[in-house]
Amino acid sequence: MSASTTAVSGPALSRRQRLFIFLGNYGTLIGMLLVFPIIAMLEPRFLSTGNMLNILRQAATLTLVALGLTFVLAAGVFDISVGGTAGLCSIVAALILARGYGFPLAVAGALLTGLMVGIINGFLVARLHINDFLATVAMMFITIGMDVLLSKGANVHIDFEYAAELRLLGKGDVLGMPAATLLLIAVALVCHVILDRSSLGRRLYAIGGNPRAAHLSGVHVERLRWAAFILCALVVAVGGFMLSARLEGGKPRAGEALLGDSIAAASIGTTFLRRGRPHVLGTVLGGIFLATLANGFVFLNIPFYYQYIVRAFAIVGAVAFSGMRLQQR
Amino acid sequence: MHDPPSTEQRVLAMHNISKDFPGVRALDHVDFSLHGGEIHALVGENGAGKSTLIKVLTGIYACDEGCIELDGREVHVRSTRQMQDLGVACIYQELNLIPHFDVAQNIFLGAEPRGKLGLVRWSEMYREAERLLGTLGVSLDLRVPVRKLGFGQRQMVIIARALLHNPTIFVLDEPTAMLTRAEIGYLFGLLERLKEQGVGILYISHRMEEVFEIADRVTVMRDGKNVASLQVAETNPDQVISLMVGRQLDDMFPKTDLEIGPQLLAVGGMGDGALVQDVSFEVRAGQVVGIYGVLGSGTAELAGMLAGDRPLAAGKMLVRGEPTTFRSPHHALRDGIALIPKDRRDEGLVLSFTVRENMTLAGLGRWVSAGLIRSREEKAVTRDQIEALNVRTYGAEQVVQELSGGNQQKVVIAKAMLSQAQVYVFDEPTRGVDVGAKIEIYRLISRLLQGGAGVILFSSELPEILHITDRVMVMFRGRMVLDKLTQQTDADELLMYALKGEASETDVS
Repeated sequence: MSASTTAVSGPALSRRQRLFIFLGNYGTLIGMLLVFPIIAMLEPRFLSTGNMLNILRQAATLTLVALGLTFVLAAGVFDISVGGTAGLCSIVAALILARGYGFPLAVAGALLTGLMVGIINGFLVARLHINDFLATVAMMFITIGMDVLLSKGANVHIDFEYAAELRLLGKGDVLGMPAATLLLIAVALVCHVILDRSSLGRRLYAIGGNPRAAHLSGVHVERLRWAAFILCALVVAVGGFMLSARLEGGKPRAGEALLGDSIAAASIGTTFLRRGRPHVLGTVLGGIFLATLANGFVFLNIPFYYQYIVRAFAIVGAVAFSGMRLQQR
Repeated sequence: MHDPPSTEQRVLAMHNISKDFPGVRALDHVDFSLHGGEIHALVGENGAGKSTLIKVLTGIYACDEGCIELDGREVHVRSTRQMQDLGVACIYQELNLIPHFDVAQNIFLGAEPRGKLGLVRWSEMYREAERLLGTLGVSLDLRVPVRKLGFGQRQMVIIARALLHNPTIFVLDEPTAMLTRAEIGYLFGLLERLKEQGVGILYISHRMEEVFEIADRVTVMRDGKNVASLQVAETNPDQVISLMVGRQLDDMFPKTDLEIGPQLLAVGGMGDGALVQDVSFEVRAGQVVGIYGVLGSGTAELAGMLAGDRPLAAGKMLVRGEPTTFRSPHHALRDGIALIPKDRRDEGLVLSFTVRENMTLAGLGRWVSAGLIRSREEKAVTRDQIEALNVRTYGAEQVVQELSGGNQQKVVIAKAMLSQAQVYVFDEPTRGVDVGAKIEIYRLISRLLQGGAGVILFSSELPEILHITDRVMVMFRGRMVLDKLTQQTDADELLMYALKGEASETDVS
């Protein structure tokens, strides 16, 4: 920074401050947008419409899980079990389809599984006051165990005749858009309305911001924590179903990788626009960003393990930016 | 502004300092000067710009305009470290000490004398600490962990740390807020000694009597401006206070006589089985009931019970004649009883929320249909409330964290009002707010009464209790020991009951 010749270097700093505020609001978005020309320069096919849609398709599963996580983060708690839950819901849905019970029952099975997980998580954390990390780590192990138990550790194959709808959701298009993306948009809209427009969402943010003040303002902190875990697990269940659709079946322990990705997407999302608050639009952008990176790396033939490293830089970079912004205030 | 002629010994001059925050001008062309061997008091309401000015001086903020001279030389402020090295030491309200380190370790924190290998030379450190405390006239066991010290002693440790580098300018931000009278006397003695050594002392305080006891000059700030710099000998507390608030103080307690209305809340034989026992009273519309008691007398617990935050073990409650029970603050609010908690940052506000989100939190259900918030209505209501309560903010979307204490308190009160409460339980509503905000809070209370509400005021400030309540009760060891019309009692009687639980002929000391 340049110490100007005026007495105290005020103007220079305030320009810097403005830059930080701008970067705090839009830095993540700018970073994301920069990725496109860079990859496109190296590999022009990256920018084709087909590939863009493909990115959106690939983003769906991880973003859905991250949307679930957004609810618990908003309420000031954490859910480590989201990856395991997504995997378990995916196996349950695949098994139901494999037995020929049909698509609607498979959806119901996944959602019901999610609901159970959410209720138990909520019970452990909100009612029994067990530390949220510990309780949901326990739940993570339970879901992984159930996952392997139910799948018997082997892939779940779904016969071709039962798989049409699943394939449409996983690989197909509706009205020129990937079906997966349409589902994501629909779920994201519902989540946005709940978090941003409803009294439930406002109260979730309130208990996340200051549970004691929320309690004294008549907010049922315990009940809302519970609600956060249930909402989270339900949306994660949709993500689990999407996972089955992408895999066109069930694969044991397929959900576990989603934990890190969803944490990354949601935390990158908090750096976008609203100071440190998890929110739906941010999470969606974060999810798409991660999917873009993954896709671009494949195009550029960069080994997958570099992705992890780049992802780490993306998270730390984004969060550091918003952190600096807060300090500058 | 009103500098004495001897500018040679001026250790600090701040010229024309301005500082903008988003939407507000925190400092507006402020001039300020400090001489060696002078105690210069800086007073003003919360939000007047005192702390911003200090933060500019100590290098925490860079100012947008103006310049700072130390010992007649212009300084380009870059960091707090730089200002420290230039001889500016500052004591803030919160004491940054490491509890399990001992006194000497805390004094030398980050400045430990080191040997060749970078190892701390412990014996030298303790010798130096001993010497330093000796020059301050303080006797403290150097090897006692700081957590075992009282507040006043901790402050001495902080002061010793600040004086380690022989500052020429010593800034104290509300140093006496948590001190006992004896500790204050001790601190003042120390300041006098520093003054004799030629240190320039900048002393920020709310307390007028302290300013007039110790300061040589006083600078009054209001709305980010330096309103006046006066010689203490040539002014008086009333003048300073009216400069601070910008108006005369004769209407400080705007208590209007109101007709007492119907009963809003009655409690009988209320107790929590431990700290509160057999408390009975009633509150009527237009009435302020004061509850006075020393720390530990059960007043805090009683406030919690009234607000539904603490379960009742015994007794009954009637709201407008109907029996009721509160299992949580939610039920109390539903029955029209709202608490304005003592600690607004920890209990009153969601600091990361905006003014709007905080104001509507308790009464949120009023603007919800089918689970969704009617946001246009919510915004309109918030705007009205900001205007009605004169909340100094740049808008409903400002984060409350950025507001001053008095304005934060108004947001908490607005929240209670928007929950449509009829009984307001104020717990120390004016603690830590300045004179101007105090007056505004009293006006608000008076307006609530005119609107037909009843108020229960928990306060440890006798003048407040005596001036704005209609009825006053004193708690002692969990019981009500006195219940009188306010006009039939006085400060001595209240204090005596609060301290001894009964009237007695012998003096209370």
